[in-house]
Amino acid sequence: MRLACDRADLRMAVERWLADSQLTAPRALDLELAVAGEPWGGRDLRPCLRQPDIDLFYGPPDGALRLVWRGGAGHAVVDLASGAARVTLVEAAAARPESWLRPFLLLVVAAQYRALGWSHVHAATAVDPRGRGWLVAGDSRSGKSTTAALLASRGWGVGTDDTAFLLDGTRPVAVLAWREPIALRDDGYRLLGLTGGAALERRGKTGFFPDELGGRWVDRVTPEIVAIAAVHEGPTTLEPLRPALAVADLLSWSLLFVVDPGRAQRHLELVTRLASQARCYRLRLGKDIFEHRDLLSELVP
Amino acid sequence: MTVRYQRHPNVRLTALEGEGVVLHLDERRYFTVNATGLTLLEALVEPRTLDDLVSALIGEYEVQPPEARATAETFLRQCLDRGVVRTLEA
Repeated sequence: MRLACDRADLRMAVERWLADSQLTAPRALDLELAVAGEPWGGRDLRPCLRQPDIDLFYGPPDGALRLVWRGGAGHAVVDLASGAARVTLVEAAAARPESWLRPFLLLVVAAQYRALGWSHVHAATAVDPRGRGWLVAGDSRSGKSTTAALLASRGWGVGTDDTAFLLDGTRPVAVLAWREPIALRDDGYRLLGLTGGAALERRGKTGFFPDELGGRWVDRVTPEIVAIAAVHEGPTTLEPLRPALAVADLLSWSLLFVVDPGRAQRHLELVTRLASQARCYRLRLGKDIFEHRDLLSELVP
Repeated sequence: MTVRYQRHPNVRLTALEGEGVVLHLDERRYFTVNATGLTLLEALVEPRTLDDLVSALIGEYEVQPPEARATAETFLRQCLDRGVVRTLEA
């Protein structure tokens, strides 16, 4: 990322955050960061995709993507063709990078990456003891993080518990992981019987890197198994899922394509290739997964 | 007047193991269609009459014309309701 910012403290915070992610883009994208006295107060009458705390305005006439965070405390415009972004933060927010790096800038960067053919998907990535790549997609309460931590503790390679990027142009489709701690809620932390970890105070979670749990970090996975996850009360089950249904689910966990309609067909084809190359399953996670050492890998022949 | 039908320009379609996945960008909706629906939606990339669609089904499947017509009519109605297909002036 080619970062331009007059404020040394912000530049350092962003550079460190980007370096920690260990994602290396094939070409540098421009990211301009500035601090403003007032929140952005403009209007954008284009279609809007509403996400928690962030509104995304997109479409004609210019096709640029506008992201408005917390009513204008953060504002970004991303040129989806070049991947260049201009970000403005109000001073009060800028002073607390933890408040906007992951909650806001991550989505800006994910939008920038679309210019590289990288598609953000809410999914965990892992490699099982037999060397098979897994992609586990689902919402924020689907058990991805707890499962990722559990698998790491059992020696699996784990890339991410939530932030993955599908690579257009690789065959088979490969997935890159944004490196950050696996973020556990209290219930997952307790179920795993863990101690220690880094307090992720803003998120109310505790973080561990895979190697802190006995696993290893893997930057890139080629999924042979795609699982759409959800937590339930019964035993853990893994049922084959028709690839077309897996595609529909994967679309719902990679919604950023909506704001980039010019590339929507490519995204659809990318997700379709992923579902075609992998065996797809509906994964229902039960508490027995904590008792059975290799339950997941045993469920998949 | 002959009514023609066509896929909405903001609908995207992909085929996978005989099924289709339909993505409607305006509506931000996606759903799957079976092989018959896939055949019809693939044909509807160009403006088609109901007779064209019936012919497409007969050409693809072992089906009698009345059944093909009923299938095409039902599917078209569902697609029109969801905005996946639009009617065109003759």
